[in-house]
Amino acid sequence: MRRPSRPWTPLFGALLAATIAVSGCTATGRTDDSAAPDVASGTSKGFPATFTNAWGTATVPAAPRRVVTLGYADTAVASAMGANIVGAVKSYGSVSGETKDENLPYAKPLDDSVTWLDPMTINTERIAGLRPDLILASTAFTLDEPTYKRLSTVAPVVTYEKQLYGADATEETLRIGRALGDEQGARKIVDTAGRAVAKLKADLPGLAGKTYLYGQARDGFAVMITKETNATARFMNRLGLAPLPAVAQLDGKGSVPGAIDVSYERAALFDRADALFMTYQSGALKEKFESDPVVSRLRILTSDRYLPLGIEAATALQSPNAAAVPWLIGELRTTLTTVAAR
Amino acid sequence: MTAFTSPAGRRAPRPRCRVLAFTGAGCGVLLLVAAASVALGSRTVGVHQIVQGLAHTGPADIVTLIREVRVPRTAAGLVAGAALGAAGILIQAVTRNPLGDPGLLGVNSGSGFAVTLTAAFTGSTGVTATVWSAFAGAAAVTALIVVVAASTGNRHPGQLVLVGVALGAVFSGIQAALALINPRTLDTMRTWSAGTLTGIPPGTTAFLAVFVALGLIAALTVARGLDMAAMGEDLAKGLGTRTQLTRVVAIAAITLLAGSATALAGPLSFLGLMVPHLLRPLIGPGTRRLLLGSLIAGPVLLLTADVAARLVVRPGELPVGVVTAFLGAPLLLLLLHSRGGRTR
Repeated sequence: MRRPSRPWTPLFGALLAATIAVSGCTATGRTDDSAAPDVASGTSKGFPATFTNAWGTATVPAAPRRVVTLGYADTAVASAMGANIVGAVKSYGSVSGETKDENLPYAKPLDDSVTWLDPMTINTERIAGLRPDLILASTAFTLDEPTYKRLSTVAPVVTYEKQLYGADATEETLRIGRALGDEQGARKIVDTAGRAVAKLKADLPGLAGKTYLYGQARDGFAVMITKETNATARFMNRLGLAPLPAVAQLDGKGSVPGAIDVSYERAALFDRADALFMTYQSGALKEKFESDPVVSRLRILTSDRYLPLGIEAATALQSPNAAAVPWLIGELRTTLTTVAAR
Repeated sequence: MTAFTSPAGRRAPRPRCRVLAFTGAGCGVLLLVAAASVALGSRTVGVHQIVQGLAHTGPADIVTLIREVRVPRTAAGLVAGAALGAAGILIQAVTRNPLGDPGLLGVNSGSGFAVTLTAAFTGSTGVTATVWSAFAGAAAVTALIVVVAASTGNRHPGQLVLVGVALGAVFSGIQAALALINPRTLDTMRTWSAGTLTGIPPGTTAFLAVFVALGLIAALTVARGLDMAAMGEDLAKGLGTRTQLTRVVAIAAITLLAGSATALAGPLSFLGLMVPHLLRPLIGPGTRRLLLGSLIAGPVLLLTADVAARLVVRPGELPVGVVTAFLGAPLLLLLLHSRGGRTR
């Protein structure tokens, strides 16, 4: 039996391939690309570089000249390394309307010509229009497999290897550095972060062994980070802090990996922690948490050991990238000083 | 007096006996469920401590837990449950549609729309702003539905449902767009739309209880008229019922009841739909009886769901709206199956 013909399929495929090829040719032919900083215009040593991603592999053929960053770690690390970023996701604070600045508070401000992208919706068409030769998405929290496949037709995409926020900050930074062709530069960022942590620990020796609770307030309960499978817990551990055992040892499940959900009815436990860091998805949830009859009576809530984090700090702490670490330590320093002095 | 017999020839209980039996048993169950709501939660508390907490004689943390967390939560469940149950009965009576619930007349989408607007354009996402914008949204959208339905010239009750569904879809679409543009609004909506009885200030519950009481009084006033209208407009008019006035008062009552419940606890699905179907086989189809029965059945269902929400994922909690939806759908299917698909 004769198969029905589909005359439009090959034609559509050819058109798509031609469009991508034309946009690729145009990208390499543009003169303004020569203005890219050292990292982009430098040596092609280390290329082609192949990356194993969560949904396949990507090969970066040569040192990238036009980079799009879809995650906050990608933007912070790439900008610190002087990459020519043509498109980047806006800060979460600007998306939510809390601030007007699209730049991340801990990253080098991007050039005025940069195209700001919405981190909540990855727009492939818009990204293709920027003619990137590398898309960094190692912390792109709205990326999924179909979007990854679509983006891969535009340029090589470097994502996380296994799962979102699953990589160590050092590993993540070096991976971005390798994609940009400057592992040396990436290592410098890692070293700077390491020095900031070491300085904090030297300044505040009393911090070692102190306990913390880091949670996100939900309706009637808090999601408390307890296990090192979570990037925030790993960061706190680097500072010498341990999750409060009374909460970590509770038998239950968490809404996010490495966490446990704790009803406000059990909030009396929170008072046993040396530090309480909280994040809030909305004003209503902050109001509900702080005015809850049990929570509002906690001694820690009226002390300097309680720190409600702003939106940018909360976002950075969700997956503390190496470029953000010195700034993050500055944000937490006052509370950590109080805790260390206990 | 007429003898009531079942198809098998056995004597069936008289309606009044059934109502009395239901009221007695229902009040007992309600007391038990309310006691469970005060006694059970993420934190285990002994009976002695509960009594101490209620009497204000125990340790401060127990007194706080019982008197300021669990008792207000139980009170909110009683008010919201009664309001949703009664609203469901009225909506099914007015629209003559067995699928009627606050979602069908656009009350939920009106509340959600107003909460979204408030969060997106004023940045107010606090409890007070959410409660009052939800209530105002429910009232405004219900009024709009009535006006639009009346302007079509078609007085069939089904017209209200169609207009409610259409406007509800429009508001839900705008709401989704606003929430997608602004992640803070999305977060607010995600929390609100899950439905909860936690963190409701007792003063808010008491204030909204007044609206619920007014709604119930209005509903009871037109209950007989709604029963007449169910037999047909012409017959009802012939028997002296002012059908238009009855419908207007009933819709005002629905707004007060469903608007208050949604403002208190968020858009809880299935409760308004389930209560009438649960009660009809027990106490018959009379609207007045059903309304009074809903004051027992609504709170029993809502508080049971809330207690389950506190216990199934200890030491965390689930939003009560998740439990009402999870338990409500299978329970309704079971109910319909056991009754062979009869809806009245």
